[in-house]
Amino acid sequence: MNTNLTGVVAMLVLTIIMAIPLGRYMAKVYQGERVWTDFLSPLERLLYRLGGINPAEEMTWQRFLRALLTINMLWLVYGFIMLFYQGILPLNPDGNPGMTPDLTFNTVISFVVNCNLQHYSGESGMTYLTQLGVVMYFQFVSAATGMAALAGVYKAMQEKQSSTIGNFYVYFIQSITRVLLPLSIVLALFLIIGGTPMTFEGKIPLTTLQGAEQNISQGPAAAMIAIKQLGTNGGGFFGVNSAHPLENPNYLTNMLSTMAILLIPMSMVFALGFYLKRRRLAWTIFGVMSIGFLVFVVSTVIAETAGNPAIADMGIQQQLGSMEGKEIRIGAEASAFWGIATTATSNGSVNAMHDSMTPISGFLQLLDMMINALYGGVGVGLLNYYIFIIIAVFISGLMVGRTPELLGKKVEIREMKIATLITLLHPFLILVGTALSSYLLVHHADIAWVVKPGNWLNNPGNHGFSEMLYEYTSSSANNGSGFEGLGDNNFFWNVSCGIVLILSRFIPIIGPVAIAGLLAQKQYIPESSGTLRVDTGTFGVMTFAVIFIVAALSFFPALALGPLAEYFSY
Amino acid sequence: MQTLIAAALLLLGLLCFAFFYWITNRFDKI
Repeated sequence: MNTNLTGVVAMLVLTIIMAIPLGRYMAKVYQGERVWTDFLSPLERLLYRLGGINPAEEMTWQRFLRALLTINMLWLVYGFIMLFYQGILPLNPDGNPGMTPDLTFNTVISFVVNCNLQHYSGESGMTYLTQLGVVMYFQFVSAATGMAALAGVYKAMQEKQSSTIGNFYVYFIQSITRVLLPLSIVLALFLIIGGTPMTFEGKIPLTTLQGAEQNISQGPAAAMIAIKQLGTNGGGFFGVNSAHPLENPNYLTNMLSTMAILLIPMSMVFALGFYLKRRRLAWTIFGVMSIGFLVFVVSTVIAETAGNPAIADMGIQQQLGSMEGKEIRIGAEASAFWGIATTATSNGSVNAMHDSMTPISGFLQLLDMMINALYGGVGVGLLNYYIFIIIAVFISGLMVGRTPELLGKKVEIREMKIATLITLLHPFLILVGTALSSYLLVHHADIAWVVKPGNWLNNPGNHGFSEMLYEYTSSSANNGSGFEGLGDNNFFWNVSCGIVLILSRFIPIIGPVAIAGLLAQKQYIPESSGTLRVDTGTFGVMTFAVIFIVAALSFFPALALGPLAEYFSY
Repeated sequence: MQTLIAAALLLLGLLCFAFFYWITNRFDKI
């Protein structure tokens, strides 16, 4: 095995080894058991007192969701004002201007919803105040929102019969103080040691070897990059994200960043097992997710290391693989692995240009986001998987002629209606958005907008279609990575993606929390020999089949028009 | 003009949240 492949295997194995104890720790935190971070309790009590929160309050699922929505709505208003007026606010040594209204709309929603889709370049589009006070702040609180929602579902699944699912604010605060903050501090220190800047000074003027004058952007990057990875946020400090030599200086920082992307999403699966004392269930879920993930990783690594056939036809040797759009310090294998890790986990940070990857890799990255449940984003990935479990339980029940049950609770028409709506929302938003943009591009290419639809795409044909499909897929999956090659900083893309982002964030949180809350209220039915076990390999295969069939039926036509057509047409 | 457009877009975002509150209530009765 070559060194690059060894690096990929090491990243995966080390992450799993760390995810198991972290999952055990997180389960203890959410159950209120004693943990080594209890010394932070006074800080948490202070925050509860400042916010007027009663941490002992047990919330119904409706109250839990209203608390979640209200706090997010307040952040939307706060972030909007900050970004729109950032040009006249302090901590702006480079004199960057305020954002336009549509870019403000897109950016604030993007960060509130944990997506971090960026239609601006950090060096010139943000100030230090908004990088820290809006972007980094939202990277903590949006990640904690997803984790708190999942913690509520853990509680609901554990209850024999209850009308409450815990306290949103307690889960939310603890997700930050007990998980995100300690891990971010450790990772930020490693990044600083690796060469990532952490300063409030402005650009550094220097003369290049060729004699040209350049101003090199820097700033308080390390702190933001740590939470960007751990919170599956993905929004870069610099425009080219983790391909930038100051954001991701070397192979070691690349390894740490990749592991940070996967760590908490994996841990939350194990935390479910420890919380419910059903480790076998957690391993079943983890197994299904990992099989899908590994198939994607292996296929992408093979595609990228084989080189680009178009370049090979020019007689150019590609011993390092397909290196267009990739960093030589990272290599094709680690870039391919990152590409799948970032799209699987709803992270969205990139260390290579996805637009330049081979069609098979582009296809798998798109499919990864379309499934959006192979580990998934912090908290929300497992919520998405929970919806697939509900559907698999229902179908399995119908197949064997029994009333479907999940962990002793009957799954009935109300839960299935919600699960169906949530499942259909994701393809609906992606396909309607792509269809609308394609229609405008073809039939109204000359509309007198700042950027005419005819000038949106850098690439014609199937690849151009993939660029538009990727943008809406990334938005709807709350991923935030860009295929790029798309002129997206204009009114149409900013507003349409903003609407897709907000709808695809909160409805898929409301749905699973509502289902879990409704199930928790039902009478518990003790397990018997006739109970459908959800912690078996058979049920794991069933869930995998549900995920595959839903994705294939929803997205195959669109994928056929984009990356698949590109692959077969060369 | 820019401020007016910004206010309209902020209102659009707030309307989305009103929709989410409605959905939360709706899922209780679905």
